Amino acid sequence: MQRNSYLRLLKNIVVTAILAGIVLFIYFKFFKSDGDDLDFLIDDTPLHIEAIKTISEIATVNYKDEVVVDTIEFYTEVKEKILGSLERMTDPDEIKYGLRMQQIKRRLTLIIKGNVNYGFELTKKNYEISHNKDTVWFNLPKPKILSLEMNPTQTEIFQESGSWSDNERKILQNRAIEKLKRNVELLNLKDKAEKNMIDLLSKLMGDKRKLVFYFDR
Amino acid sequence: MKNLIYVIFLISIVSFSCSEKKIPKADIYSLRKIGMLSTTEYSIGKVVKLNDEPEWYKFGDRKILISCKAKIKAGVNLMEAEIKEVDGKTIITLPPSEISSFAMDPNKIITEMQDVNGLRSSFTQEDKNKIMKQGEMAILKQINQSNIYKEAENNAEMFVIDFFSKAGLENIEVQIKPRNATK
Repeated sequence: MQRNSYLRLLKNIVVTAILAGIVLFIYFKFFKSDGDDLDFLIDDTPLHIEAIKTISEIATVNYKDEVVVDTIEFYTEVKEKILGSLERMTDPDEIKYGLRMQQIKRRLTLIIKGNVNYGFELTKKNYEISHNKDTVWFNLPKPKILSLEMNPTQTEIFQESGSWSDNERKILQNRAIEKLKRNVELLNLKDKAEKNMIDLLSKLMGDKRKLVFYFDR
Repeated sequence: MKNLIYVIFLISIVSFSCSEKKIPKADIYSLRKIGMLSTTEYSIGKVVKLNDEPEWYKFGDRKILISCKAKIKAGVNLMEAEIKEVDGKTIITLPPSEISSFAMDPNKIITEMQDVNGLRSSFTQEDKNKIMKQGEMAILKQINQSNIYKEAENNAEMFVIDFFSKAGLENIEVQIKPRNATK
């Protein structure tokens, strides 16, 4: 009698294990895509230093902004929509979109946290400093964007449905760069950069002479 | 006893359903006043390689090679610089150099090769971005082993002497604070 109950228990454990195996297989095969794994690790490869340049740039304003860029493509015909939805049902990444039979064929949305350094690029020819006993004159160039960072760690792929090529992604990122540049213009960073430069040099010089600043307009 | 268990069950359900969602902490973006003198620019290239070997439940391989380019600038923070006059000399003390900008050009992130076989999914843009995030971190780690900091300090010294001599400061001596002293 006891032997029978042990056998039944064993049978139940085996059946449960088989069922769990089937469920896990279906989950990993159809519902878990390769992209869900965050644990992939790149190999060690060398860094190539292609050029080294001596520069003289003084950044006086740092500006951070978040820009959203989005591109979307719709199905144009009902037949295309049905076929597209059916095709999506076979892809674990796309199955959720296929189930909804939505009108959107593909969509890519990026959220990019840009970082801009704004200030003065000084070359031997574009600035001049002269002085006498009482006054120092600084003739400085026009401020400009010195660097604009939109790196992968600052980029979030917020929405990706359908297949997107590298070129299409680049077009979106370039749109984000343009958006950020427009925001820089709207903020009138030029005036702020000039004011900060005056503050910086006045603090550094710290002498009793009069400092006069001219900025190339 | 049954009633007590039932009451505890109800209370736990209510407390779970009423739990407040915490608002995630967000960065505050604002204009920052800085005074960063960049004196060295490195143009670098790297090939990021991933061989995504399958787990036990996956069949097939995924491999990808992505090349990228970046511009890295280094320099000194002039906001932390100090100018003192000692015995007729002008002593300018600069902080140690640091990376002032690191920009990877999105137009130069190029998939050179990819191979997906078996039942594996193709690389999406999200996958590629995850790979490039690791590539970016690897570049930053590797650049620390280069001479960029030393060169930036040497160039900063030359620039500062030239710039402030033109403004009339005499007998300029530049000192750079040791790297560990600021940490």
